[in-house]
Amino acid sequence: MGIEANDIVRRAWRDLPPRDRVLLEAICADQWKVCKRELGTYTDELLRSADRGSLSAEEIARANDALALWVPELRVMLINDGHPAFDGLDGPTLTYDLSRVAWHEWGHALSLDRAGEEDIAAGERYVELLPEGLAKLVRQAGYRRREYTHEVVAEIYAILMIRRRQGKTERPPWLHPEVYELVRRVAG
Amino acid sequence: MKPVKLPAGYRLPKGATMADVRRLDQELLASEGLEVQAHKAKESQRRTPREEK
Repeated sequence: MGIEANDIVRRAWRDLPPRDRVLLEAICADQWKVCKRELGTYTDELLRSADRGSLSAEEIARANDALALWVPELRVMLINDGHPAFDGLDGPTLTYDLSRVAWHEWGHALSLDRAGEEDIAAGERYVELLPEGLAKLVRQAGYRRREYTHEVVAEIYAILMIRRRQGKTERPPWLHPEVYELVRRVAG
Repeated sequence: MKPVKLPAGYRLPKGATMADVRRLDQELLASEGLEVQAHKAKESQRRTPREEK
């Protein structure tokens, strides 16, 4: 019997610090759906059926590339577990990847609601303060400048959760204190 | 109608894979004696690739 993606996400949810779960519930960010759909097209369908507008063709194409999405308009996280990036993974690797992606998206939910204009404006600086490999990942993934802060929060939030599963809860030595403070302020 | 709030997604750079992400995580975690907890499954636990479903 295969590993159910939904069970993995549920476990990732349960592994969040209780305070974070309460916070996510308070901002109505505790719903998710695992599907095998291109997420831009699917999100557009959901928005239209809820009479909440629609996405542009460019935005649909952009979101179709995504492994997961936080959809603030509908307060739901969508994960495309049929994305080629998840193909051929063994159980522990799929668990690692899906958990990481889910934590990233919950980081987004918190960041989009709680980051201030000054935080967003400082996005480029926060990316510069990341470890080199992570900074490169954010820069090369085609995010807009105004998304940088949200990406920094989401990526670091996901890695903090990975560490938490292994019993580490303090600031990682490789993380710049300013970035750590940003994530704590916005996400915790 | 109000403009739609755009979704925030998890995307990989062109040509990158989740294995690249795990390698990056491993570098960071290894600096504190931790590890990426993956790649430990038996062959029988492997997921069927999408095109074979």
